Amino acid sequence: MRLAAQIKRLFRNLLRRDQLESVLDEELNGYIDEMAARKVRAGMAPAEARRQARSEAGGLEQVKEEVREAWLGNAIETAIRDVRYACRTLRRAPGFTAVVLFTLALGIGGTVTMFSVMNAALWRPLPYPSPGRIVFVQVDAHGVADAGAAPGEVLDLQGRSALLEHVSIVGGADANLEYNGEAEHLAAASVSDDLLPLLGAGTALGRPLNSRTDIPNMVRNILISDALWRRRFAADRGVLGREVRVNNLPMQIAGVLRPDFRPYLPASSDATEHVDIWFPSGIENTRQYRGFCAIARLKLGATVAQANAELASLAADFVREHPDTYRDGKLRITARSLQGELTRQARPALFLLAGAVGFVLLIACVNVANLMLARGAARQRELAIRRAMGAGTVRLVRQMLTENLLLALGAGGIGLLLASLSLAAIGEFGSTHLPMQSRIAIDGPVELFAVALTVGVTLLFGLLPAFRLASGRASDPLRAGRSETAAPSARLLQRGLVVAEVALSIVPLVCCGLMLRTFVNLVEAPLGFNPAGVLTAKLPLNLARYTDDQRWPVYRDVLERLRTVPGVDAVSAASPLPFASWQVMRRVGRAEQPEIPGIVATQQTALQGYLPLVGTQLRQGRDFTTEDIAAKRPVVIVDDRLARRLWPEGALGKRLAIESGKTRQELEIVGITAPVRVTSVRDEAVPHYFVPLHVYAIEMTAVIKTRESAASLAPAIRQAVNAANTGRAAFDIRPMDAYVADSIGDTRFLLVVLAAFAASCVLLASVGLYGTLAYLISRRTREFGIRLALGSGIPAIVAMVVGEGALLTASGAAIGLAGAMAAARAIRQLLYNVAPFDGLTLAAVAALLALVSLAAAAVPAWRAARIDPNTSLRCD
Amino acid sequence: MPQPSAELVKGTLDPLILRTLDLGAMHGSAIADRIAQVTKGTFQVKAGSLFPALHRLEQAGWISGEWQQSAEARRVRSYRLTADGRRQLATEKTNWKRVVQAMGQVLEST
Repeated sequence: MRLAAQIKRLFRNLLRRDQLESVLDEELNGYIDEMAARKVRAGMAPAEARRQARSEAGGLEQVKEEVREAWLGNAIETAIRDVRYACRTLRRAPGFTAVVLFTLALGIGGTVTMFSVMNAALWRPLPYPSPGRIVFVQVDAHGVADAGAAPGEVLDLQGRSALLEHVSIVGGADANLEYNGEAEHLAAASVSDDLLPLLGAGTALGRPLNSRTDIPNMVRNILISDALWRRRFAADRGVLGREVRVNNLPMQIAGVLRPDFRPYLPASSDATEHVDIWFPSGIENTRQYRGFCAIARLKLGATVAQANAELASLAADFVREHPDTYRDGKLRITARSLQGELTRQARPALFLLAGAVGFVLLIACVNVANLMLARGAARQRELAIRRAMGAGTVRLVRQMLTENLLLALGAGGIGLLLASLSLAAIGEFGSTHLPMQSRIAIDGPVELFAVALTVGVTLLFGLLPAFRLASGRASDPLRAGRSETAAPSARLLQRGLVVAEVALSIVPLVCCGLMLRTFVNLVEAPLGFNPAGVLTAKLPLNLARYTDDQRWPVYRDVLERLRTVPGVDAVSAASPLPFASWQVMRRVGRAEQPEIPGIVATQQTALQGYLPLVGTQLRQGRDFTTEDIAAKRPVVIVDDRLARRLWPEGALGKRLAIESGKTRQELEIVGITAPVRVTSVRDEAVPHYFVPLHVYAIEMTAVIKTRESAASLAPAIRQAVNAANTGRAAFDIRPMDAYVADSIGDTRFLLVVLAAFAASCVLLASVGLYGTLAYLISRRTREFGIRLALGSGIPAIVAMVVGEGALLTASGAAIGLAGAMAAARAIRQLLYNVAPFDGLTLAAVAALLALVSLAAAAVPAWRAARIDPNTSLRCD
Repeated sequence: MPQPSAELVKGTLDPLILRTLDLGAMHGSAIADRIAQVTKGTFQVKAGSLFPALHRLEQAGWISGEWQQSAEARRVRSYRLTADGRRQLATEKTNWKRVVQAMGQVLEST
């Protein structure tokens, strides 16, 4: 039998079904006619002959049904009929359908959203050649974890490591691009020659970077991103070799990177995902300074563990060869996968959110299963009739599952829509600290996941009620006319499900409460400065062009011009700003005890007036003065924590030693401030100190006390800076608040998403509680009627209903709290100044649940109270 | 006579119909009559088995049905064997012989 003929027949069957039916009809009628005719010939009366012929054939409809089963495509036909029937049934119960769709869409939407985020951030391999072999090389030196590599160490690793290749460095930078008389501030990165090839970033035009030939002619060559090439150079292929000015230096465009390349680099590199200009960077043979982010590739066949063993022995060699660099004798070099490094920070928060969304989905399923059970009880009669008419268990279960699948598909569609809306919202969220945020999208794997999830959910919520219904005895519901009460086992199951829902919703609720407390604590944490009403503007200055003595006059000029801007109350400058992504860390100690290894502290260059402007309290001593700079006095201001740790007896007037590589500076402490945090709000342990401009000259950021907004003052600020003739435009004009907000952006993101999930959980649980109570009470109408008729008061009935709600909530709460305790312990590291068993949070959650359960019980209780015994006893 | 099991009917009815139609085109009740006559009444094929079997065989492409005038000038659906059906009949015959032989070997072995 040929396949083509079969397929042709299948289509003919499906498309011309009525023709097939009429053939069958006529054929069977003809058969009956003939049988009857035979009986008439044998002497029977025509009417009796016909009746007997029919009954001998065994029921025309059954014969037809059996013939239909022989037809090809009958299964498809049945499925279509099931779907049509399901559509009709669902349309007849719009309330039920809407609640189920909404509930499931919420669960599926949330889960798909989290899956997209986690897939992009954690699981999808980096878009680079053999991404598993790319490693981040962490260097812990001078007692600072992840202090960054020194160039000399990178060179030695290149030369000596047998297991690593393409050891390269990368560092984020700012670029001020001048072209066609238009200046623009862009994100840039400085990279050694191997880095871009290591990441598989080929050029679409031109040649790769080469620091050896690029540096000596002093006209540096740069690569630009495809986006910049299209935007600024109108995708002109003639840009190769064209000269532009970047950061006041002439540079030549050597090539354009491929459009699909995106740099995903560790946070410690300070390079963003949107680097537009790539500078070549040679690697100097020095260990004087460090802080470079090092990346390498494992040689084919080498494992991370083997590389780490090799790096440990190389680190020991380095310490032996350079005793004055590694004076504490400690150097730790370790490698781990780049992807692991990129996702290290975000991992705990993402897993917390994934857990929370799992709870939303579970509650949604429980809710829908509960609704299905309640509806199933109401549909018992319909099913009993269908069963009595010959529908088998398989057929009924199949019909139920078709209905569920239809609901799940609808919910899946709405859920995907919800997910894409949430992802858009995440995109608008601002600082989330999510790794690889730009590639979060609903892509193939996410869609596949959504479909699998939908089918899985259907089985989860649909199978139990379906089998429960299908296995019911056929005749019982038909017989149960008046005394229709739910079977005790069904009631128990439904109550159990509600208890489960309440318990499940408590876990995310408690986590959310703890995160809320954490967030409030972070916002209220004493930072040591007050960012309110302070604008900041970066003041780029080509330090190479100015000698030490020229820098101060340039900055003084800029600040004086800014001071005259209308609306400005006070002006000063400092760098780096608190919570800027890059911070200076140094090892400091008592000058008279060089043999004792110092402690790690953060360093900030500040001009006079910075401390009072940002409200940093000076507890002892004085601020810097212009005379300090003029006379180049070796002075320093330390914060209280540093002072207490090094000089418990009093630090004012003592000499502080600052180590940086092999150099050592000794400064006199002239002031002591309140503790100042600059690395992160959570970081209370790292002490801080301020140095004047002549001690550590870097590009400064102006801080401006004003009541005006950044937007309204920005033009005047830019104008003032331009007038000072530094040759570079001010940029990043934003409130100081923004740095603080960014620094806790990850917690805020976590909190907002967690709150959304927790709210969904509570909403779903209360819908479930309400639905179940309402249903159980509607089934007990007769019972209440009898109670009322026997003299029970309305308050007693209301108390019964509310009491039932309270009992369900309390049992759920008790179970949920046990789970919440475990969850809270698991997220300890995300909390700040909150104990995992926070009384306030637990009390608030309990109060919220009590309120919700009361609200959910109120309407059913009210309905129960209005039962008229007369009608309830009569009603069917 | 004990009721033959469903499988036995399904398995034996198809070759019976094919063999009957091998003699010439026939309509439903004629096929049933013919089978009853040949088997001397052992097989009384009811409508409930006959028509599903006919449709199954037609869907498989072994027989094909068309409308014809019967001897009593009634419009009847008459089936005839196709080329595929003839090949199928040959296969079924061989199979049947093998089954009978095998059954005989088992049941009559000592």
